[in-house]
Amino acid sequence: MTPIQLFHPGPAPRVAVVYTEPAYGKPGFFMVREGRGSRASQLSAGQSYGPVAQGVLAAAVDELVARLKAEGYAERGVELILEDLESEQSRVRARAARRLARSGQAGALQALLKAAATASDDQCAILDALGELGDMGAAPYLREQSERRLLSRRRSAVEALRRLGDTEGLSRARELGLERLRPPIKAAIEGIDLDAEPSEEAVDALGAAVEGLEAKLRGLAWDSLYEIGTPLTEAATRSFAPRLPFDQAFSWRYLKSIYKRAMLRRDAETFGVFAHAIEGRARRLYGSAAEVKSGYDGAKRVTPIFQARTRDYVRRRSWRFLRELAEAEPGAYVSFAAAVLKRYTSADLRAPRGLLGASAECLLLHRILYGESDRFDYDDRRLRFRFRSHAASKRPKALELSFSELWRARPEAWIAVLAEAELAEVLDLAFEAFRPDAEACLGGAPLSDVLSLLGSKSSAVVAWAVAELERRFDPAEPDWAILDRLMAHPVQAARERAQAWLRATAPLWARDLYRVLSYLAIDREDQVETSLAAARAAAPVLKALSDPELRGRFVAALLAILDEDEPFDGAFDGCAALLSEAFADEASAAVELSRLLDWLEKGSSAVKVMAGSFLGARDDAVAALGTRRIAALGHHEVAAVRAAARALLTGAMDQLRKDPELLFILVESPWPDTHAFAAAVLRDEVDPRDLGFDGIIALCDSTREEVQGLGRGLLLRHLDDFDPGAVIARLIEHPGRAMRAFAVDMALTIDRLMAGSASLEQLVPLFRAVLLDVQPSRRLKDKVFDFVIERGLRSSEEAARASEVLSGLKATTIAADLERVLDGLVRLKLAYPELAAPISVSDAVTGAAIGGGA
Amino acid sequence: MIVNTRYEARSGIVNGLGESLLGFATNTLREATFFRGEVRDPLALREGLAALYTVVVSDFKYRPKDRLEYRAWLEEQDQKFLRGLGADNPQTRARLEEIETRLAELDAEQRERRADFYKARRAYFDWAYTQLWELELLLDPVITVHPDELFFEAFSKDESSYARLGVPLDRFKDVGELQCGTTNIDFGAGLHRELERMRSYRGTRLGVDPSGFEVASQGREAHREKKIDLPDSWVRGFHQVHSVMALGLTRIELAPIDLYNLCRALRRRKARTSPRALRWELVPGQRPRAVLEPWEQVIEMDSGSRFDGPKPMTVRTWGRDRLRILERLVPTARGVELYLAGLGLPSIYVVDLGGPRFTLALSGWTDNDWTGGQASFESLARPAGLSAAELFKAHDALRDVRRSSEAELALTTGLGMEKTRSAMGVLCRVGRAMYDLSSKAFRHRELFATPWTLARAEAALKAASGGGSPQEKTAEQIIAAGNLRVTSRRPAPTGYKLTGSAKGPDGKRCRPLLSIDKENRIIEAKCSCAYYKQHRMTKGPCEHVLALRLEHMARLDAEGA
Repeated sequence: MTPIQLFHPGPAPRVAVVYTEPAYGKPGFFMVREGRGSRASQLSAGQSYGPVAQGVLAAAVDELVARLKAEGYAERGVELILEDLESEQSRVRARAARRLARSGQAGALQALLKAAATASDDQCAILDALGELGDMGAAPYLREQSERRLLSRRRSAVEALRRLGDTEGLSRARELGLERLRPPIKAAIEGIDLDAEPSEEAVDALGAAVEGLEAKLRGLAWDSLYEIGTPLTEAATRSFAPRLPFDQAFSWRYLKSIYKRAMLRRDAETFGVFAHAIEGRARRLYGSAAEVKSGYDGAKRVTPIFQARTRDYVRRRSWRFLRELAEAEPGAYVSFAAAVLKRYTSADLRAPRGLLGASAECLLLHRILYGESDRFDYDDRRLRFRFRSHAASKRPKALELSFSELWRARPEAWIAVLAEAELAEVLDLAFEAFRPDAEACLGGAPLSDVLSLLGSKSSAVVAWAVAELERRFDPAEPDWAILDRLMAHPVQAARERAQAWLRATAPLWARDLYRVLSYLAIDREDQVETSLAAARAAAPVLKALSDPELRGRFVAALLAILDEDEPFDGAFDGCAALLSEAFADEASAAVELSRLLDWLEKGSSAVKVMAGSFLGARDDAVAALGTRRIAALGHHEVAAVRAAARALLTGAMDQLRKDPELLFILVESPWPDTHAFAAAVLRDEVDPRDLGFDGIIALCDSTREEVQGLGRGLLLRHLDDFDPGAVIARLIEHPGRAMRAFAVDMALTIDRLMAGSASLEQLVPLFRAVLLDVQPSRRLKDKVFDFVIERGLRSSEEAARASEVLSGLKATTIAADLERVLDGLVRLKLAYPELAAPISVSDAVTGAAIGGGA
Repeated sequence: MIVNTRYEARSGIVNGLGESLLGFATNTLREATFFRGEVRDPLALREGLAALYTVVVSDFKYRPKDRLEYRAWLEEQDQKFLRGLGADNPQTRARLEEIETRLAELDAEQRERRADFYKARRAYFDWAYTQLWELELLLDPVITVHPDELFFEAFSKDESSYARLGVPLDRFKDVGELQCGTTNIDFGAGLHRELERMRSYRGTRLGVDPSGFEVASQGREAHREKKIDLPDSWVRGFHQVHSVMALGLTRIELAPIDLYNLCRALRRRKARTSPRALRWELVPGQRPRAVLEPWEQVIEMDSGSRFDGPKPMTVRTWGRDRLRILERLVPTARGVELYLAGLGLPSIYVVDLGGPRFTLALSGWTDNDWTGGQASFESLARPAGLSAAELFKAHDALRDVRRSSEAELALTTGLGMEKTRSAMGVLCRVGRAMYDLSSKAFRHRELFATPWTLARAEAALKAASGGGSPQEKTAEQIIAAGNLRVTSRRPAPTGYKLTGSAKGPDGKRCRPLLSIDKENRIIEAKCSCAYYKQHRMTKGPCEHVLALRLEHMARLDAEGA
């Protein structure tokens, strides 16, 4: 039972409260208590009656109330409030003004206006009350106040005018607000249409303009813009203002102002953003102090900025506002609560510690979601919730929402939470709360609400939305509006659904030129896929289209689009895909070769692909462009263009056989397809005799190992046809390790054909390259050492060459090499004692030196 | 500074069956420079250009491991954990785990299915990156055509290595018309790859002109422009290199096998701990020894090498991994010259490729780029009173002959040796000249396209005199305040040896020791000050040493030397 408050106009005790409590140890019985004191929260005396059975409880209460009334107590009436309105204390007057406004009593306007004339600190409360009262009679006074320079008064007056719906007053306030803007702010927002739709681009543009201002001016700018109160300025304020530093005087003053305005204006979204931002910052920031000039009396004072008291006050204020709202405007409460809930993210959570849960410090979340719970202890000093026990950390099946009856009355308020909330805890609870009403709610919900659920983080919620859309959409008789909305939807899941429906309904729309063009014309980059899906859905239908006139109209319209400048990369992808897939023959024939080449050079990727496919089908291309130019297209970065080049070159195979030099360029292409094509042609189509010795060597000279392999294979196959000296002379110059190894093997193979010191001299660079390689192969080195020593032993001239090679390595630090060098030199010296070598060899028996040497 | 280059065509090489045409497209925004000729030894040029490219793309600076992705993953795991905490319903949690397991399976399947796609995408990104990198980051080498030599110069990306490939014109046949000058050349990865196909059995014609070489490029972009934000330190570094080269350096001759041994040892082992210096131990009349720290691995140089210096010395150089740039040149090299400036100071390797010569100058250590904002090697050389007109005259004289020794230039200009030397120092500092270590002569080379005017000469002079290092300014203050006393000053075979006592602005008295050559360049210096103890000579001499040299020079002038 709600406590009953009674007031005595005479001396204290001024307040009497009657309330009931369950009787201890007697289930079904209650105690009726009476408390008296100077105020409801400070009861100093009282009496208890009972226990009384529940059946007679109401009668007992009535009896007690009647007795108190007989003592002169009365229920609160306008007279009492009016009396408070004349109190000497401004706080009492302010409270009375609020109560008077809520009571909506006749005569309240006059009383408030009268109080306003003598108001001091309570002026804002009276202005707010005038707004809440909703009587247009207050408009002249509010207009007058809205022109004041003092921020607090002006704020209350303007917001009150807004609540009254006084368009004339608001228009004047906006005019004055814009005039009053400081020049840099004025300059920054100049040229921005503040009444524009709050699209993402418009919000970003306005945000960028304000962000460009000096940091100290941004808070003022956002408050001024929020005061103007267009959808765009409100959206931009929500997006950008919370990024300002909360602990700096120059921004906190205005952030606080926006927060207050949001409450006065009943702007749930902005309140949600700011209440959450304040709570988040309060957990992280310590605040500061600054000398601030008061707008009220002009005095400069050192003022704490966003310090603990302020932070705690504002956090508590948010919940108090929601609670008052639940009592005063029950319908609005759920919207505000939903706007707050959906702002929480995992960044608001902390690692749980003992009885402190992850969301222990999320004050508003707790108040809203667990207001009816008895599982928590509230620590009002630290503003956090602690589980009463470990067992209490388990959530019960029943919901514990504050004002649960208000949620039950408006379950559709959960849709916003389900669509946008990120925190699993919030989503889970919202899901549980909404589930009983989901079908009924979604069935009657506006399309925008259903679409919004497609962006939910919960797959079950998305499934609800999809099921609802499936229910609403009939592919046999499509609701084009739904399809259009889905195609342009920012959420990918929505666009994917639209693409599926596009495919399912293609026979119904694909022949409609204007509808096709409308699906292909896109204005955002994220719609490229949808445009392509539309093109691919329409292509089979249009390909089967037999009406030549209609086909011609399609081709002309699509080619006309391609003639324009592409607004962003991919904008023409749909058109190009449709032309390629459905109208390739007509379009290819309709386009001149020069236009195709122009597209290849300047078009977007999709247009290049299309142009490539058209080019590949043109019989006149080889004659017009020539094989060299077509071969150049083989290096194009677009695969379809390279494919076209390959197709055309395949048609010109005779020319390639005659002039295989082009193939040597193509085979070096970094593109695997072009390279593979050229390699295949060289291997299978061109006679090695046509390539000749130089041609095969050119393949061996390649920088690509697979081409080298091709060259090596051909060389080995036709080795007998060539001069071995010439072969070796060419191979030894290759810088690649694989080819160097091949050259060494080749030298060993044809050694018998290359006698004499001159041929050995020719091989010296190869030996140096192998022996002085910093990443050597031991096997290869040994081969070279064996070869050099063996050749050196054949004749004195060859020994001299071999000695030169080995001497160059005498200072090597590689033990194995040094061993081979010394062994070789000794053997050469023994074979040719007169050989000039950097070693001396002496007879072990006589000790006489053999030959000369160092 | 932003360096704009514009190429009307791409550099390229076309390897026909019997002939190769190598065309370097030049920057059309600079003075017309062209050259055509047939290369006598394409292999040496190929190897030299390959090494030059290695310098252009090399970046040996230490960079800590990038842990951004790992941190993002950790953050994601934290968020996941916290989200899981929010879902305290056991059924929800079980469902969550089930979904996550399934998701992992699906992800794995997706990855497998899309493997080809990812591979293709990777290839595309690599291609796109290379294009972008070449356009925005690759600092094209500069090429200079002179009547006796054609040379390429480049600076590494980490600004710690400078390379110069000089090819004498007698290494070309059929040299046609040529226009001397300096310009940038378009030198990308594609060209580098194609250069590998140069062979001696194919006549290779080299062309340096704006048209470059059109590699059947119809239908492709007509020209390309590059705008590279060149760090000021890069520009200063280019100038500093020549300040160092013009100093009196210790020269050692090495055999190719010595370079091979060094490169191989560096490739085989990687030092995990300090010290990581390459220590040169030089004893007069003996073979030089290179010692790799910290293992103390000794590499004896080939028996042909001898150190001819007057006294034993030990020089430690850092950033030795940069020597790997020379790996490729080892088999082609005929000989190697090493020039050492001193402890922690730059070292210069000149590789003789049998005509072409490849010069690699390495800064004191990798993270110490050529200037580091502080190094001032130019202050090791002697400044002399010089007017803008004289500087202008010296520049014009050098430009007319393109290459000249100090003595020849002094004779031509009539400025005398001291002023000519100073003028060359200033011109090197502003990028108008360079010192050719191979021929021991100065060469005219305009690093940038800005024209040389009297006003610029004045500005250069002002920067050289007033805008010197803080140590130079302090040295002048020490002299002006009479805070320097020369304790001893005696002639030596190499020049002069001086000791002194100087009091700096901090009021502390220090004892500088200075060995100076006959051209008044600092050979060796020591000081008892903190600056010297901290930096030695790696950032140039301290103010006390400079003050001692100023005083010595003043006395020389007074003595009429």
